[in-house]
Amino acid sequence: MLMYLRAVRGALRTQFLISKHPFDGMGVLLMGPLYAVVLFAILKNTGRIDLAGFALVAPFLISVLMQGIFQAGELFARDRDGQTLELAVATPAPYFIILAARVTVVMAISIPSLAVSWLIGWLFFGIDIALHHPVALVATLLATLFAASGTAVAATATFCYGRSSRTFQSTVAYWPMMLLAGVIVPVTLLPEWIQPLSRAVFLYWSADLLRDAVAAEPISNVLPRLGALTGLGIIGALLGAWLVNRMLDHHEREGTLGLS
Amino acid sequence: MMVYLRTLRFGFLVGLGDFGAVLDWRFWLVTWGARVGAEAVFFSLLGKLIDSPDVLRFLVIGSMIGVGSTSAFWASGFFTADRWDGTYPLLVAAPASIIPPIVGRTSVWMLNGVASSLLAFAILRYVFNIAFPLTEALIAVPIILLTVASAYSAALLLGGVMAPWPAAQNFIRTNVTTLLLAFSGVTVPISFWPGPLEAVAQLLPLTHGLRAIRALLDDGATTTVLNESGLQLLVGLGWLVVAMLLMDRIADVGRANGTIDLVEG
Repeated sequence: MLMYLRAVRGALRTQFLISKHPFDGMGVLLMGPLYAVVLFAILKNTGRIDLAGFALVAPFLISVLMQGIFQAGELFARDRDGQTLELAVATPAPYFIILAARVTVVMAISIPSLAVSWLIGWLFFGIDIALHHPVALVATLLATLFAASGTAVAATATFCYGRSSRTFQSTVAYWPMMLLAGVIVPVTLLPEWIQPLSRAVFLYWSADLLRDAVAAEPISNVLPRLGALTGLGIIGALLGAWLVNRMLDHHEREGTLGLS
Repeated sequence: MMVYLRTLRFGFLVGLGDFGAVLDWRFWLVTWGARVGAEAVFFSLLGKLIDSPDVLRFLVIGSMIGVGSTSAFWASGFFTADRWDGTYPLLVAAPASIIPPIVGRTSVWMLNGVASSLLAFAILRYVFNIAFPLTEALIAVPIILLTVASAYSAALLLGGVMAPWPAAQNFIRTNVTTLLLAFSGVTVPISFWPGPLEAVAQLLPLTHGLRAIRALLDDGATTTVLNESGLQLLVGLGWLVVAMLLMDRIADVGRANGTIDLVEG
């Protein structure tokens, strides 16, 4: 047990050192929130400041998705490309634990995007969005971090199959996912056949909860919705653990662990 | 001149190779189509939420050009592709200028941008059921081409500017394309911004072409369409000339101080 904790601590520290890079790891803190400039401008220009909550939340969700797909999703493959996978697998600590800890650090970086997005609205557009349900907001942010990390572990194991066209595949996955999750507008505006699919995406629950948490109206069914968000995170993590172990088994058997 | 065209052609073939390594046209239509469609619909949906047909129409036309421009900006990352491949010193040593191989190789992303805009046009028209007069829509095609080509020229310049910092390329490109959506009339008219910003917006690579396309599709005011198209041509050429000067300079400086094949990791 103590050994696992030590491995986790090492993984956290390693990932923090890697992610410290201002453009590569931390870049998401500007790349996502910059969409707030576009969205606040549209709302202000059309006189619909009452919808400001949408313009606040969407850039945050964009950050989470960006970081999940382009950073966390790359971890496994980068370990392989960088020839550090063999070494990590050779240690007594299970690789899945190390990967999960590192993914969590990467995803945690995207969480303050909400504050950056709020600041953009306040500084450049004079829009002061009141956060009406702070407890629900913080709880949703924590649950989002958990669900995003769980899902990203599964994603990083899947993306590893992609090889050279990985960036391309990620870009293709990225935009349809934003629609499916209702990042910019509630999925009720999408065709009806799409809506049940949305419920399987953790971002859908996060989007709905966050928009409710900043709105003045009383917020309902918080616990069941947080439960759905967390549940999808657990499913992602379990799937990720299975995929990672399966993949490692396969490569160890074939002797291709270090080949990329 | 013949040498110039030949190196341009070979550069383009290499660019096609970059592209073809990832996808063929059927795969392009399905995967890139899904991406382009989703990206174009994304902002337009805000028009639905705001519940105003005018805003929706504005966002639909803007998004069509926006996705093409974002796609064309991928060229900025391929500006330094020859440097990564280690073929830069050879290109500099060859008697022809370094410009045609770079333009040739990256121009495939301009074509991808134009195709993305046209595809987005078709998808958005279908998804939001917005009527565009057919003749005007056909006349819009060359203006779309001109506008996306200008975005590509700006992307070349950006590629040259960020060549010394490869680790920051993705960060810079993403932010630049997002800001272009806000400041060149894609999502709000440039008159929304304070005076100085509006003045700068006149020089951005999408502004005038978008105005021409909007005038054409909305009320067909011929003078506006012609004037704005002319301005777009000037602005686009401006970006291209500056980008070409920069390419020459990068080659000269690299040759002078021996850093032509060195890239900071």
